[in-house]
Amino acid sequence: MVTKDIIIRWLRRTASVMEEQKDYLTQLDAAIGDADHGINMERGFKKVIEKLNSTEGKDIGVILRETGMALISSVGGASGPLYGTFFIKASTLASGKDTLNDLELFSILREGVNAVMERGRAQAGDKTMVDALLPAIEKLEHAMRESIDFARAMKRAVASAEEGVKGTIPMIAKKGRASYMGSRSIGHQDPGATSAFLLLKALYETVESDAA
Amino acid sequence: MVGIVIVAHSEELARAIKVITEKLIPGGVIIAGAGGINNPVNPYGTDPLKIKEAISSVYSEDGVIVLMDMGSSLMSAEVALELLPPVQREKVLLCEAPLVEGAIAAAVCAASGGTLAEVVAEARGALEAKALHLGKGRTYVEYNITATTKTSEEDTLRERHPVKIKIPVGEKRIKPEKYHERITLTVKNPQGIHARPAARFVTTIAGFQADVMIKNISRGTDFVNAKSINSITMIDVRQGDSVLIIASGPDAGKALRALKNLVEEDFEEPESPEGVPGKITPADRTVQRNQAYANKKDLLFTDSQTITKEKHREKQDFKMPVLFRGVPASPGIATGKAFFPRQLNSSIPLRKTDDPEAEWDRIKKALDAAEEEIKSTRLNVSAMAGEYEASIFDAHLLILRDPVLLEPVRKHIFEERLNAEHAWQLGTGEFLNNYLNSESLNLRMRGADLSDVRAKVLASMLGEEVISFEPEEPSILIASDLSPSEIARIDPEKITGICTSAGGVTSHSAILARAIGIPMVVGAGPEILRIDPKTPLALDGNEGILITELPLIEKYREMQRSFEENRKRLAKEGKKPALTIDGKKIEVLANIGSIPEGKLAMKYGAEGIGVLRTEFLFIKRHLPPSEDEQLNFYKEIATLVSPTPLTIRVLDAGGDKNLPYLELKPEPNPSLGLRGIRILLRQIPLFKTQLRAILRTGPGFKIRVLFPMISSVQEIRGAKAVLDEAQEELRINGIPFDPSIEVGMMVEVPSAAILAERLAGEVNFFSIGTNDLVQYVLASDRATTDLSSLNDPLQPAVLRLIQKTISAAHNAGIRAGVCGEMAGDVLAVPILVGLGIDELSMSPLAIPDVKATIRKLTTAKAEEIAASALEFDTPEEIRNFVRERLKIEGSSVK
Repeated sequence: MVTKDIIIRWLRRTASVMEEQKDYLTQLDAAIGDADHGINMERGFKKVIEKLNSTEGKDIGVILRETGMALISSVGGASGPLYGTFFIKASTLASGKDTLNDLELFSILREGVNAVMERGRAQAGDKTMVDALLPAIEKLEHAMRESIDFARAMKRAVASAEEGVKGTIPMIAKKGRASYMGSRSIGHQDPGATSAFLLLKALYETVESDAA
Repeated sequence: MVGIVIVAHSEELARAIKVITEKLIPGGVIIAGAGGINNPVNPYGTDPLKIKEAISSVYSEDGVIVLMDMGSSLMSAEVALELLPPVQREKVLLCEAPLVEGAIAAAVCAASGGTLAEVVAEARGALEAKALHLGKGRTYVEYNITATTKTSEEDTLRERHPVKIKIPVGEKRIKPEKYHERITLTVKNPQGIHARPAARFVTTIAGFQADVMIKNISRGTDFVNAKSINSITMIDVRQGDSVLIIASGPDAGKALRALKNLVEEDFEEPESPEGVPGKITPADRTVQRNQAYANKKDLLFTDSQTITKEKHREKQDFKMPVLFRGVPASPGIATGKAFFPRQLNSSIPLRKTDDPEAEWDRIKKALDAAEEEIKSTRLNVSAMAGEYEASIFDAHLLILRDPVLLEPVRKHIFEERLNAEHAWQLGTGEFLNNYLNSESLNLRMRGADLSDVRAKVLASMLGEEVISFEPEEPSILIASDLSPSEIARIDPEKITGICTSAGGVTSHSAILARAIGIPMVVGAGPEILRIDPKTPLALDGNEGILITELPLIEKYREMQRSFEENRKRLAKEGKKPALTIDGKKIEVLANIGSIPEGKLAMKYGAEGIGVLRTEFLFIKRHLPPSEDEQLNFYKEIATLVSPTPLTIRVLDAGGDKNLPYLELKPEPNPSLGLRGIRILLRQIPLFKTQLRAILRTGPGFKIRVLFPMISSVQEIRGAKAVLDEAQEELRINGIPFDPSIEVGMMVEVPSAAILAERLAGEVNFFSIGTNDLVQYVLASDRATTDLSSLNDPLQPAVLRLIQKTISAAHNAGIRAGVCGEMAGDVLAVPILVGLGIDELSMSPLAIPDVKATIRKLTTAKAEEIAASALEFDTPEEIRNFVRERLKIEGSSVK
């Protein structure tokens, strides 16, 4: 069971993680992109926190939707519409809800990941955030089938996401700015996959601390 | 005025393009920029909210074109689109045209009042103009095609009007002087270059590399692509016309010589002009007619054949016959108004797409599916009516693959971003209108062909039928051909008769028409497609005739009334139970595949359903039906027949049934290949879904499950194991189902009959499928008319296997039934009763006669008949013997 409060703590944690990891993400992006991913993500989530300052009377659906809108209007690069779409699509399944059971939380994440793939026309192996999100969501689905509790399931999912991030290093980028580099993109970790991993890790850490 | 939005990563860039555009267009344009993001430190990027505001600021009913630079612009614009109210979203188009050139071209067009589609086309054209300037163009050639305007009574004297048609020729502009080979030919065959000759023409040169163009000199057309069936047809080459054919390429000379031969041999057409009243189609030759009856009919029709129908649109070259002869396919008489099911209504989805590749892919898939369907029809027609009759379908195949037909469809998808269905209808509609509005009979007939192909492709895309079988009043359905699944969907209350133009039907279609008691005539010729809708008609399914003449129709109405009365009497008879004189009860059940058939079965006194064929749920679709969809269908039938039992036979696919999602490979000998249980045991999820739906139908009803094509003990055990798993799954999930469902198997493979003792221990009942059993035991196909004496269930070998199967069943204490056509044959019934059969399952209409036959028997008499029948060597002897013993009039049985 996940409450509205946990969702807000997840978003706040994500914001602080993006702030901490800003330089790291930007560094990764400098190698194969335009060196702004860390800056963009930090700015985007800062905006999210501003919007969340008053959450009174808002349900999880509204919170996720506002998160999405904040991201699309402030990030600037392609990750704006992508992460924005993730949250906006996810919000549709949470509308009117103040708590989510494990399956509902899984479903909204699944919906979000599907929407990202659709929006970016990206598949696994294209060296994008999908390479972190997809293995994570599949692992999560698997764990849900085995009725494992959400925190433990999420732990496995995050481990898969991390593997996925490492897996982007030998890939040739097929989408986004990095794809212009062709085979020169080999050998670099994808910044989008990395930030997606951070987002999921923040969720795990939030539900885990709540469970503890 | 159409609004323009410029999306760019930089605010300055967007603004600059806006300024240039406004300066260039004196009349003023409505344009807005959405560049950069609201961040003073790093202002470069795209903001969906800003884009949305820009769109809203220029929005009007006329629509908005959005031009974008690169990268995140595209995704941001897509998000912006989703943020718009749905009504507005429809009218906003994201356009891939180059940003600066596109903006200016769009502005010019918008300022001059262009529609959104025109503005978008202009924007895209901007790139073409640039490419042309730099010498990398792609152009279209305009042809003056002499087609004609719609004709009516008043404008018969009007001259032809040239119609301009844009025909793309790919990378080049045609220059006749470049074609080094040329030839002038005069076409002498009666049909001109239309239909079969056109198909022959195109296929003759298809194999050559040469680029071949043709023009109709006699009608003053321009050159068109000779490899395109539509282009050829549009130049309307008729008997006596001269054509000029030019060609270039390495084998140009050979190609022209091949065409010369073809034209000089009059396209190898037999001398039999179409459109002759009362003409007998070649298919007729395959049918032995009842001579006495035919003579009587000839007397009846002598006068009427000379009457013609003046009010028709036809010109001097054609007179509408009042009688069309075809081949009888299902007996009975019907009257009603002409009804054409393939006229599409407007329920075609209409939307914009942002993934034209995917839409184009859908078109290609639908074309493949339609091709499969046409090929299979062609094969059937070829087997039934010969290669000549079948070759008409070659024209359909060529239409499908005609690049000239596909080009406008492609443009609608890639340039206007229309969805596949809409693009297909619009793109092909242009050609269709040209055909249908033509003054030429030939062109209008080709219009019917195109219309048919067009509907097939559309139906395939929609994954369902767009064909309506719901006329407002009792009607006679007229179509070029009908598939078994289409016939299965017919409601006998609305459709009183069926008449097809094609020369042959699959035997399945005829069986089905007979099963639901609808009179049917096939192969009545293409002229029937031009009968006016709602014309009063009479159809004689006994003789294979369709009639449009009123006095005759009145006579048929009277005949129909007495026929109906007879049926009512039979239905009343059918309600009584089937008891022998000495009181033995035989269960008389029905074979059905649809709800209308189920209703019919109950009406005629079925005591349950012996076989519910489920194939119709599965065919003609891209994905198998869901568990719930199946459950709903089974429940509906179960409710209809309750409290009597419903036997559901699991999917018997394979053979001739095309189920794309099974991904079956074509087999040289489908009836000996993967079919029935053999497929299901290799497609467990599909199998289990059906079993779950059947099990869930159980509570409250008497449901039995029947496995087809069992040939070994392992197979029935395998099937039962999957049934166990399905029950287990339902139990775990707490879903209600019938745990004590009766399990039966078809005995239709000879090995199953031979192993009956072993198999009897595995099931609750046997159902002997005599249709397939006969085919396998006698190694003779039912479609091969020459072998019809072999393909007979009264063959001694078949009777002996039935005897063996029944006694094995009874020794094991289970029931045995027969569910082939044999069960409805009143001459076979005494033998089956004598052999101890427990259940007979048949076409609903056969029930009253079969019950009446049973009521005339005693068990002892039946046993004696069976014992003697087993001593004969031929089916004819057996029939004569049984007929004698029953003293049934020969006229009422086959």
